[in-house]
Parts: sequence; C-alpha cells; structure tokens
Amino acid sequence: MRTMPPSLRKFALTVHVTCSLGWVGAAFAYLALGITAGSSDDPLVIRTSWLAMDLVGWYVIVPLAIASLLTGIVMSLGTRWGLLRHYWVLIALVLTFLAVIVLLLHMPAVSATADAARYADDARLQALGGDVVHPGLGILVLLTVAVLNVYKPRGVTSYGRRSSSGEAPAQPSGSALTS
Amino acid sequence: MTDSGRSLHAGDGASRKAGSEEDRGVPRWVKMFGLAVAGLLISAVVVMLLSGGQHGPGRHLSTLGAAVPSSHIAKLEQPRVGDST
Repeated sequence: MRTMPPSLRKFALTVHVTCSLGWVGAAFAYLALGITAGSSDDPLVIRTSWLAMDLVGWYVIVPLAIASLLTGIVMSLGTRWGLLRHYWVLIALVLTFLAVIVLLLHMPAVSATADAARYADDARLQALGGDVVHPGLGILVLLTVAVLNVYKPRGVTSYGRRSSSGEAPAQPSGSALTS
Repeated sequence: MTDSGRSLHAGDGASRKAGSEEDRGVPRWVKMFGLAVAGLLISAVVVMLLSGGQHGPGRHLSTLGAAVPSSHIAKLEQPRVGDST
C-alpha cells in the first residue's frame, strides 16, 4: 500500500494526537462534572453540571472522538503499520471504535437527564444522581489505547504475515496512530 | 511520541529470524489482554445482574433512556401531590 509523504504524515499525526489528547482531557472534565452532579447538595450545581455534561458531550467529546477514530484510521492506512497487520493497531482500533459507539449510544441518555434537570425542582434534582461509570470506563479504555500507541508491543497478525511475506522488509519510514 | 528508531519488522539476518519466530502465533500479551477484557466483561455482567439489571444495551436504545433509569425520569416528571401547576 502506498504510504503518505513525510510532510503529510506529520500533519495527519499532529491532527490525530491533538484530537486524541483532547478527547481524553474532555472525558476527564466530563467525569469531574459527573462526580459533582452526584455528590453535590446544591440544586444549582446539580442542574448546571448536567447541562454542562450535555454540552461538553455533544459539542466537544463526540466530535473529538469521531475525529480521533477517523484520523487514526487514516494514519494506519497511510503508513506501513497498516490497519490489520499488527495486533496493537488492531486492538487500538477496536477499542476506539467501541468507545465511540458506546459514547453515541449514551449521549441521548445524558441529554434526557439534562432536560429533566433543566425543569426539575430542588427535591427532584437531588434524585438525578451523577454519571461516573461511563466516563470512568471510557477513560480507562482511552488510556489503554494510549499505552498501546506509545509502547507498540510486538505481534503481527496472520493477515500481516501473509501480506508482508511477498514484500521487501519495510523501512522505518514512520508509524501509525501516535508514533 | 515519535519512534523513528524502531523498524516495523525485524531487521536483516539473525535479528530478522528471531523476530519472525517471535511474531509467529498470537503473542502472549494479546492472550493476557484478552483474558483481562473477558474478566472485566464478566464482572460487569455480574454487577449489572446483581444490581437489578438497570443497565444494558436496551436502555441505551430507548429514546426515554437516561443516565438514570427512564422509569425514574418519568416519575420525576410527574407532578407531585400538592403541586399547584
């Protein structure tokens, strides 16, 4: 497969790293809001936390997550790492894809809760609780992907062995995802 | 995060032979990772079952679904006894 020229690869890598780190940072911000919504006794804090979680989720986390997934695919396809050749790339792709799917399925629930919080009285706000499990598990997945991207543990898939058997050894021309 | 010092495949000669032998089959770290993920999934299912099944994929697909159970949201949106509006 044809790889990207170095200048384009660096640009794509910059965009991918920026989106990925932005996603992690936004997830931590969301987690802080989710903990606050579940632990605060102040109705105003609970209401604003849920409204902020709705905004941060749809306008920051979702765009960054989709951009991170797409730029990761571009990086892997545009370099000799490939998308399915190495276990670490494949596992990072699957984890990122699942994280995006769960995020997209979860956000309507967040919006529904934020709508309820918008008009609920004080007593009802106290019963809404917070949102800790989803962002917590999401951050765990994202950190796992980050570790895979940095350490790049060895291991070539059967597809990778078949596809590389007829090729000359690859030059260290660059790397996929966040290398 | 650049990693320019590491080639994608093992190098020539002895190192390439060692690398190809190492790459044969599923690496140990992949097996361990799979076991860890399976353990986490089983734990999550057990926790969901023990907590009364309030969480599951079906809830995500519901338009009434929420970060708190939809039945709870519906209850919250009902006017309480004594409310003037």
